[in-house]
Amino acid sequence: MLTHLKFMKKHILSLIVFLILIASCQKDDFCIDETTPQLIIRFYDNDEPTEYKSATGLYVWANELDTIYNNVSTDSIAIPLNPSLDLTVYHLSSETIEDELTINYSRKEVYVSRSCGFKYNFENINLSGITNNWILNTEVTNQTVENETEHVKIFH
Amino acid sequence: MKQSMLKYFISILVLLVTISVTAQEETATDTLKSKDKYGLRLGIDISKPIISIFNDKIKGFEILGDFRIKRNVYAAIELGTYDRDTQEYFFSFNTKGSYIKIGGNYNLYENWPNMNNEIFVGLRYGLSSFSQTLKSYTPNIDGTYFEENTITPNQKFDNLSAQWAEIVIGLKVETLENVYLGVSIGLKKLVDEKEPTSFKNLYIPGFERVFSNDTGFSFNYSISYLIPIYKKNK
Repeated sequence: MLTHLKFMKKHILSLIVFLILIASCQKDDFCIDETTPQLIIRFYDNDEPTEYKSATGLYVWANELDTIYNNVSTDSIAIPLNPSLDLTVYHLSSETIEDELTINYSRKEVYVSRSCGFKYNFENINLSGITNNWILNTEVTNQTVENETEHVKIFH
Repeated sequence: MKQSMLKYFISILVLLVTISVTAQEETATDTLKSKDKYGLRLGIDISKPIISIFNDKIKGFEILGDFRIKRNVYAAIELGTYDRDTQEYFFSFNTKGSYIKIGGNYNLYENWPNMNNEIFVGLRYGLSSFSQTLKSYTPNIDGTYFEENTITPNQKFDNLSAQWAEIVIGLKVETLENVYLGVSIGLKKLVDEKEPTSFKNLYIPGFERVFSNDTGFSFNYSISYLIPIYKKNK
């Protein structure tokens, strides 16, 4: 009977350890999911609207804030939208010629996970107040910002 | 940290009690005729009120009972209420509700004469009805370009429910005549739940924390009293 008892105790213990291991391995303490996406703008050639064309000497900043892009040459930028307002005004300057555009949207909060909390998706994207100094034309290609693929085209 | 320290402390206490009881009963029981006691055992979970003292964000209460059906088989039930404020990194919420667990335990422990201790495995069906309140959240934005502001919707989600299956492993030790101290752990798996459309059930009364794969894990420390109804020869 004693050996039987010992056998039982040994197996109970390993079962308990096993259960603790299972439970402790599946914590969701680290945020690895995607959170609030940024708006992606791609630059196109106004003469050949299907071709990408890099903007050179590019500076990008939101009203009254620091620059996000500093003197870069690129055909693609990712800019954050203001999570406290339904619009964000951006300044884009290429080779010291400055243009301004206002991005309007509605915010939709989406639950992600315990560790990531809530993110915003932006819907009904449209542009207004665009100045045309170096920017010749614009087009919203995706009205919903849920992930980071192209949302706006700028022709120059 | 304080809580888990407490849990380990109580575990060790129960363990020591087990050892001392075993040691006491080892002698002088040889000639006695041994009989098993059958009856209704009622108790409360002692860890929940103690946790409430140290952590005013958690209020829990649980009563439990079991009835011996066969020599090694007990029908078991637990009833409880739970009210907890939880602060996560990006949001805070409250969970409030009640639960019932029904099932049985199987005693694996071969007692020496006149001992009534148990090392048991059990199964439970759990059902909880509760509400969740999303108190505040800060939208998760990469970077700090724009100032983030915390939103306090205080949005209440009513009429939530959950059902789960639970495996219980534990021990019960008769420390005084008819008074039992018990400790057990439960591993749970959600079977069905009704959750808010824009939020999730992160805590469920009786289930405790819901892990990402719908599993749960909990400790239980109980003190209970056996109301003996009849005795039966072994």
